[in-house]
Amino acid sequence: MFNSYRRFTFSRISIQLALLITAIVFFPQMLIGQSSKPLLAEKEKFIGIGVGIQRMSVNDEIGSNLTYTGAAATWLLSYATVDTTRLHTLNLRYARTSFTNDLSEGRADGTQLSLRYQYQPKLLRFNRLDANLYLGPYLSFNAFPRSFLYSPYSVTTDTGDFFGSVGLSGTLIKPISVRTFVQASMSVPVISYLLSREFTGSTTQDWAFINQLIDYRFSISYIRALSEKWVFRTDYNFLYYQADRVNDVTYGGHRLLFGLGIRL
Amino acid sequence: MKKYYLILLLLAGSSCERLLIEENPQNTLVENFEVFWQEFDRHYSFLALKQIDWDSVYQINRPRVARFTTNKELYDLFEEIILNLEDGHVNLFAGNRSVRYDFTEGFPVNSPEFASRYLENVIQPADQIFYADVVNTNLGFISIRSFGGNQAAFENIDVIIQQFADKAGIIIDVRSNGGGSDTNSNTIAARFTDQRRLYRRFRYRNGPQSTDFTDWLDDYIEPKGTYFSRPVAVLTNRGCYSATEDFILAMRQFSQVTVVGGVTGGGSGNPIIRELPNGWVFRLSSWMVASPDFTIYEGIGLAPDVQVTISEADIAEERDTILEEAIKLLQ
Repeated sequence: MFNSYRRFTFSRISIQLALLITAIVFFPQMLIGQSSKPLLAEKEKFIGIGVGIQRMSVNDEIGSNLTYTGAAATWLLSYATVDTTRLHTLNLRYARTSFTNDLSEGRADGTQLSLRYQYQPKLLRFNRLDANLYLGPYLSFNAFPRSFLYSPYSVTTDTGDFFGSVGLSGTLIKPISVRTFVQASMSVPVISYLLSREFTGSTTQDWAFINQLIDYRFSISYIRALSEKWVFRTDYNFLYYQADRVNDVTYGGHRLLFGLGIRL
Repeated sequence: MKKYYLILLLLAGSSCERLLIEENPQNTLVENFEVFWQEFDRHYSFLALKQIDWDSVYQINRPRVARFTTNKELYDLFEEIILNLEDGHVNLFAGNRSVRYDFTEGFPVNSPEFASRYLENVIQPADQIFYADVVNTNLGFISIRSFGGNQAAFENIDVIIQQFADKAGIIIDVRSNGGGSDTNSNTIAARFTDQRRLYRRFRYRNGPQSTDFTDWLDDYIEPKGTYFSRPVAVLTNRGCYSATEDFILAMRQFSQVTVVGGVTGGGSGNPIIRELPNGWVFRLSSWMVASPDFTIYEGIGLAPDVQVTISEADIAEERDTILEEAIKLLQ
């Protein structure tokens, strides 16, 4: 019964995703070739929405000694301003994933919500590469509540990570053509305020420094102007999280997103 | 070309994830034993207290498991190990079979089965609770069969106490209540105190050594809802376990409360759930609890203020002598 549930869930997600990605990827492709304003010629403001798929693994000592893995649709709302001197980015991400493992019949349902703002002044210009490096602080709030269900024993364990971080983020922007640029970013938190569940079931709240909480994120994006108004964007993200507390929590994975943006 | 870079990056990232996040063990008899042993070694809170030589459990049994050929043999071994721990919070669930230590064995049953003979006007507002009048007295009676389930069921306590506003006292029967949630047990206990009181201390295993624990942490019970200040008797037996013992720990801090009956089961472990590669699930105790004076009652139980045992002769006459003693005390 459980296996059929898993197949049903994944199949439903896959169909939804396929339709969404088809709409988002192919519709803009039809617009390419129309006249478009060069990108990054002047200050650019984008607002966009993205959808994609993520595959993540979670090893949460409170929930289980086993590593759980799951794939799900993920959503992104984004606002960004880019010019030659600074970069502002505001991102809101959401994903709801059903994690399973190949060994037991356990399941973990998790919801990820993340809000991140980063401000990055230009640090360096690489003339030979024709690229700019921006470096600056970010502020993020993250929630990842999870509920483990040990089917068929009908016992659940609720756990999760809730943290706010201030960290450092670097972004390299390189124009490929007048209509296209690529962007690579990575970030690490310096100090975080972490709410975590302990084995006792109680919640602890404490500051976590760079050696106690890792929330490493890497992304590479391909951005292409489709017209005067529209921008197409593809993002690959890798993230890795580890909180070294009384009980260890590690999770990480990949996201691939396709998005459509409006140039304001 | 860009496409190939992207694929390369995904592959590199994928490997990265596998390197960083622990992979699951193989489902073999030996690996199942290894996981079982390691999880107890790392998390079980009573190895030192119960003077269990866990390394020798490994040394003796690991070679045996290497010769096993069936899950049945492994199950029998786990059953033997678990029962030797004498801890009701340690269980194994393997398909339709399960292992559970019977902490009531060898103790008087002191069953509440004849209590209904002393009651009238019984009302049951929730599955876990019923209340009644004690016949020919001005006493109220509350039976709590479990502290499991939704907290809302236990919020009925305010209505019950309001119903008992004119009673000379209340008898709370928690005999054979195997526990549930301490949030629910505190919901009831909070109605019997008019001030914040320390009722238990706890510490949890936090390191690889069996003696690695956090500092003792204090737990308080706070007054809440309708306060009942008149005398209260709490009825106990060996079947009182886990969250029910938390309830008794709290209630015995209050001057108007007397605990009557038998010694409780002695289960303070707060179990966590672990999984084996073959799909079996087990629970193990992760912390220990002590009374405010640092008395650890794991495996021993909490003694009542007034010890009463229901004898075979009482059972033959369908008498509940624990309840009778409580009525005598409160009148």
